[in-house]
Amino acid sequence: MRAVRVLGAILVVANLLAPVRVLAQPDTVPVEDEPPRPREDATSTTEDSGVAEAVSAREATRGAADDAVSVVRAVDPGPPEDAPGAREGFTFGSYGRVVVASDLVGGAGRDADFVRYGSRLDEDSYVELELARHDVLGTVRSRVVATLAIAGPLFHYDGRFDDRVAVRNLFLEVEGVPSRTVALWAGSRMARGDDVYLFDLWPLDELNVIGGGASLTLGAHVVSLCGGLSRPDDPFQRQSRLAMAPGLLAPVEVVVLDRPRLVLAARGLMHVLGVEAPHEPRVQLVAYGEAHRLPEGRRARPDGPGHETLAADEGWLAGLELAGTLARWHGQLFVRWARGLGAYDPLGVPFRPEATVHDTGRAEEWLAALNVRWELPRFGLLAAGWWRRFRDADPTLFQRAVVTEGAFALRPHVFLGAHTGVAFELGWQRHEAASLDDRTGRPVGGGAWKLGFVPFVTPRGPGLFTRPHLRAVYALTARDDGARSLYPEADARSRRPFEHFLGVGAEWWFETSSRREP
Amino acid sequence: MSRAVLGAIAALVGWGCASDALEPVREVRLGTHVEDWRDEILYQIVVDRFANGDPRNDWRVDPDWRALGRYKGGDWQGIIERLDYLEALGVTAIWISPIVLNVDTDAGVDGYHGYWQVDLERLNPHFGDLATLRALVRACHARGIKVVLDVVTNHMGQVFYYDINMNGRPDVLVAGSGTRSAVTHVTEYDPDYDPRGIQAFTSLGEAGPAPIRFFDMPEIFRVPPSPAVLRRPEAYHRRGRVTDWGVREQVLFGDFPGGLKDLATGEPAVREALVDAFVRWVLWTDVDGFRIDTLKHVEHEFWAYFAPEVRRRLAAAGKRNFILFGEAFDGDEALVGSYTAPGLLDSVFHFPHKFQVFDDVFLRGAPTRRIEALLERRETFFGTEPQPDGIGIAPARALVHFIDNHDVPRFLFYTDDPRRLRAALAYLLTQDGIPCIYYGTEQDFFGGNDPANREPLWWSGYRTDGETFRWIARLTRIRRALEPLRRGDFRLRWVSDRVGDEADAGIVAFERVTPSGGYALVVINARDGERRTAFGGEVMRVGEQAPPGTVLVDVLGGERFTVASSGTLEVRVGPYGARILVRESDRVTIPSP
Repeated sequence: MRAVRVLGAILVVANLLAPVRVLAQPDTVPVEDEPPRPREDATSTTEDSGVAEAVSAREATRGAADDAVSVVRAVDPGPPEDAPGAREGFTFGSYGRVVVASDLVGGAGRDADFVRYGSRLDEDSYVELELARHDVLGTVRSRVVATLAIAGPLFHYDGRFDDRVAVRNLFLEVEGVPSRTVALWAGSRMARGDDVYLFDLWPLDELNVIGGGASLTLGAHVVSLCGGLSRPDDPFQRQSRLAMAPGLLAPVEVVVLDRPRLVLAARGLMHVLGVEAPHEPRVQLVAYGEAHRLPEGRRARPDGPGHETLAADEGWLAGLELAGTLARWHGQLFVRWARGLGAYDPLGVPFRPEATVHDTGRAEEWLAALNVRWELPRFGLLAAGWWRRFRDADPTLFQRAVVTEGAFALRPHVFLGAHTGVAFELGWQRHEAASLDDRTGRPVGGGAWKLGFVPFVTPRGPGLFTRPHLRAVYALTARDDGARSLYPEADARSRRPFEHFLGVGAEWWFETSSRREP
Repeated sequence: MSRAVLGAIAALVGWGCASDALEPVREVRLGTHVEDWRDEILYQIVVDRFANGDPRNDWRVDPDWRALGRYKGGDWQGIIERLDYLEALGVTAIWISPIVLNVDTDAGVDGYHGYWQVDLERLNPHFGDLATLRALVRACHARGIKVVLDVVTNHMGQVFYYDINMNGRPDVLVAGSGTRSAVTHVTEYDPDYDPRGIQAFTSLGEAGPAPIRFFDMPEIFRVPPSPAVLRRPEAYHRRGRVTDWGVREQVLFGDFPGGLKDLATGEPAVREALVDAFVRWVLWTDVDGFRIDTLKHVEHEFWAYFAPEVRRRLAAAGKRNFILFGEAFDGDEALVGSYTAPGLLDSVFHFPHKFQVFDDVFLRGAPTRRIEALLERRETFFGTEPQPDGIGIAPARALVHFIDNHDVPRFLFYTDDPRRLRAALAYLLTQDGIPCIYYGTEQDFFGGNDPANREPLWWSGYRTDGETFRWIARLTRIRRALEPLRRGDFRLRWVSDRVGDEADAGIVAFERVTPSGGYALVVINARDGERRTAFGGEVMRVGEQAPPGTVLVDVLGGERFTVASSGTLEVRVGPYGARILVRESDRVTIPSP
């Protein structure tokens, strides 16, 4: 009760401060519509650091697979906007962040995170370029969205003309057929729900599929379904071999194994409180679930002659999100539970090619996350934390199969004028595995503290999610012995107790398919 | 502190941290678990072949049953899960194959056996991790089973090549026309022995010692070795592969065939690194002894340093009675026994005994007189005083006897009559010293040369109702129940020079007598047909512990025998049979297998 009273007092103070606000961010940014972020960070973290193996490479599959633009309402597109406000024609949109940094000892600044979802402070560059075509025909609206994504390093850094490029969205969405409450889409799409900005984390919806979906709006509630197939080019799902051609002149490629994963997802959004009164406390509940199915397959053994059967596999994921807004406070609590194949991203591959275990039955993941935002005219606060327990079906690193990890971050912002501000970040992360280190005899795992300082220029004015930002970033990561031991010995980070990241960069988003402009 | 934070979060959420599972094995408490090593019955386990308890570490496993040179999936967790099987068999100690990281694969053969070590400070992930290894030792100790680690000090795996032509890459060179010059074949991986050290060669001729270059192939764990002191050229003899096993210098300083690089064990830094590395595993796991590989390829001076130093460090940590025994694969008793000289090892595998008794007598039907001859020489060649701070037993009384092992064809490879094997087992488990049973013997495995003799034990279904399994189970229980069979002096009472149809051909009879008067008489028939302890009017005379009139009971068959007034005893034994006789007054109940 005491805690409730303290919380109430804080809310009262916050409300007293509310009249001095000058911008209406909370009113214009729907509570479920926090700015989406691509999740390429997990990939870059693991690839850059080499910690993927030391931490848990297979866990990274979930993140490694879904480098796509977020679509907050991909599964839940929401009702069509009113015709007068609906746009027609072509739009160009983008999300992007470009950063260059030094580690202050002569090297490039690198991501110092070793947990599954790390801080955004030292993220790498990433850009999305989106072209969309909008049409309105009476009560029917449609849009075609094509999103091209580019992951760093960029050409002006490494001189290579072959940046990593992916098509992250390529779909058609139709709203208003057969009724105004229905939306349909088909194509290639990244479906994402609400995120935890500080960690680039989407605790529930986070799908990459080629398929289709539908949503139905029932008053203030929305039910959405989507389904699709994914088939990473890996011997676990696809294998081809050269074979003698009938004419015997040249070998031809023969597909030996081709078994895409079927993923079905359902999402229910229920406004529990505050639907009709936007300035009152608002509460909404999201229930989310996925079912995964992989058919049986047969392939040539990757490590020798003969063939082997890969058994059918399946899994599921279930999650809940409780979101609430009161005055200038906004909070979300997420819980996710996945078993079997559902514990792996559809573009992830749970097993090494040579593994003898091909059944994800024992895989399990629990994830809980908390996200809080508090915003005043001259001050804003983002706070978030997550905790995760993962048990792999077949870990790359043998006994490092059960992992517990977590992180929290606190990022206060001070807006110093109409166009400038500064943010500080205090973060912490820890990773533990159910394994003893051969070299030290201690449990595998470690922790780190992170301190960040981010002065920024914000041409569009103050606001936690007002973009673009032009900024400088300094981050100091302090690793303990255990964290250093997570890196290979050959990696300098295995020897450095401190890691600096000093850089400049920019971040923007506009006209993207994932959000409306404030 | 951060761990506490994570723990608090985990507790709030309702689940523990991953590392909570480690609680039982987080700390190691060293203890002395053995009173008298002669009480133990060793069981040799090739980890990769014993039991697969954790499919998660089945990496690079080849399921083809014929591919016995490849990883098969056995691991430490598998041993944990099969301890009931070992208990049923009745063994009291296990010797597990090497635990450290190996070169994973080379020329189509894997390092499943463990003798291609590359990093002495890391475990072979195919078998599990440190937590599992600790759990294995704890689980064994909880059942009274001791654990012996297999360690290698002679060599590392193929961790470098000799860059003879100094081109920076490993080559296999063929030179010569075959007409005006001979065709020669040189491999930089494993060149022939050169007493000067392997020489570099250019178009101008020899160019001094060839540089060695360590491989960097992390995908197969073929990386520069650890600890770091082993990454220096001086840590190796660098003389190439042994080509003449009769030359002692080559045996000591040459690389083991297969490119296994010979360590410069005379180097103080190397010696210390080896002690550091292997003692560390004891401190971290509480194992009870070392089985040491390839003794005869390492100079005696090394053992004079290694053995006392290991004992000293372990004693300081509170661990005593730690056994050090090793393998000198040789039939020369003088050589084998030399490693038990004062200050060296507690014991060795008695290879001459394996060759002359188990192979010659029990397998090939040689006269049992061989046993007597061997026994007479034993105290000449093997240490007769306990090693200082060692196991407290003279090496000559604690020799490790075995019928076969992973380096030789199994006994049944040479014969399809398992009765011969059972007779040999009866001798093994009643003679003095420390008996050692190779895994699979109890399942009548019959594999030939390496790797055919390393069959996965799961092929047997782990049956415990086979005749040989039950025979071993009975014998182990009898040995454990009868102190004279474990600790008693060994006194031959009857051996024979005859190998035909004579009444005593194949008979070996011996007494085991303890200082306190404990007594057992063992009579074994190593041949077909019924035999007895008498020939040509002469009858076996027994010792004073069984005076005339003493009634002796066969604990195997239940029959009674009375010592004649003349102090003699005629015992008949069926084909390949055995009798273990104890005084009726000493008769104990043998627990059922």
